[in-house]
Amino acid sequence: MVNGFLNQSREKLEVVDQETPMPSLIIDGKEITADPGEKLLWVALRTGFYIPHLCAMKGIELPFGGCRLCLVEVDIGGRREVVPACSEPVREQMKVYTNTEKIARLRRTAFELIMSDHHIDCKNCAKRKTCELIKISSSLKWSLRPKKLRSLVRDLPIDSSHPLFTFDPMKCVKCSKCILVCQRLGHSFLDFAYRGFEMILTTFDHQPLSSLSCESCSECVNVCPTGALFHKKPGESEDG
Amino acid sequence: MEESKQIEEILKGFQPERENLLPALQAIQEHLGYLSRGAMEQVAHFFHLPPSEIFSIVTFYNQFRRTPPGRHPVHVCLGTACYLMGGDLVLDAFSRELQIKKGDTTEDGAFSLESTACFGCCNVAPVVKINDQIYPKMTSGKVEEVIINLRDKDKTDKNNHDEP
Ligand code: SF4
Ligand code: SF4
Ligand code: FES
Ligand code: FES
Repeated sequence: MVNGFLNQSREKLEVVDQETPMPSLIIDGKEITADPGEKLLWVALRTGFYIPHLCAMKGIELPFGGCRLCLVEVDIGGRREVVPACSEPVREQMKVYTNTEKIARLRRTAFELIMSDHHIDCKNCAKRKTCELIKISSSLKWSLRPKKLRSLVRDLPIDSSHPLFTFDPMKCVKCSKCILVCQRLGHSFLDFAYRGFEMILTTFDHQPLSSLSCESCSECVNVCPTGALFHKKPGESEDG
Repeated sequence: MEESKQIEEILKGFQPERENLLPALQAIQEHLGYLSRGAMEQVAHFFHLPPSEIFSIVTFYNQFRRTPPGRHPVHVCLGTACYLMGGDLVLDAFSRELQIKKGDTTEDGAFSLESTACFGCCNVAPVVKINDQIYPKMTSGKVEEVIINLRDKDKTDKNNHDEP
């Protein structure tokens, strides 16, 4: 379903292409040309502007937009507003500010929120070499540990039933990337359940990962930006 | 009738369109008291949606329950009159006393807790309904006694039943 949707929008883009000129916009004072309909985040990243992001995925028409790390300020026709760069399409004459004081504050709060229920245990974490949280925090010179918010890590069961990978909900930042890849592959084994602070990533009725007809493609593990979904070490079957 | 047959009958009344999903879940819960794993699977199949998505929706809304109601389903009225007379305090008291949240069932299956809208007897607010009995002018203080009485009744019923 999602793939059909994407193809459709790509066709639309091509039609637009012939008529409208490439929009030009200004990011932090620099003039940039983008593809019509392209999302701000990807334009900024490919032209050398760093915008932190956790839940954005290329090729997904409707990004989840849950992490709020990619917030930027835009100015269109004199109206200035804060928008998530991952879901904001570029527009002609748009002025983008990626690093204002306001933005820094909002992003920091978003990051603290994400980290406030995260089990920070990098030493023993399988993803410590590729972890996006570490990358974001070090490029913005933030601490991993929240400073203003109290840390409230829930005690949730780890699922290590699958022969190839383990899911540790206490490291999950609820970015939805694994849900979207599994959905794109036509399985949709994963989804969020409950809401608010209680929201978790899980399977239908909390069934163990091993009981699904999962084909072990490991795509979910590959897109997971944190140590929530990680490969088992070879030879390790039960208990990660 | 078997649960799955009953659900099949209920689903016959709906077109498998997304907008009918919530009404269908409500109708099944109305009829069976809760949404079992099997019920959620049947709904997923009927609407051509992944079961994980049905689970996501069912857990998102407070109105759905996934455990069968207890032998004594406690319905605390939170209609306007009852609410103004402290219905929410009575609900809190039941929740504390039974150690369950709204929508849950105690481990022994004896009690479940729910809030509802007006029972139509606002003159004796705040009102609680357990089984078919109305408890008028409830207070948090009376909650413990109501529970003890029902537990005692369960015990005597069981003893009578156990005797040959
Ligand atoms: S997911 Fe990243 S931040 Fe969290 S424990 Fe693992 S390495 Fe550390
Ligand atoms: S398991 Fe990983 S990919 Fe999936 S929602 Fe959690 S953090 Fe994101
Ligand atoms: S990357 Fe834009 S909201 Fe997460
Ligand atoms: S409001 Fe509770 S009975 Fe009417």
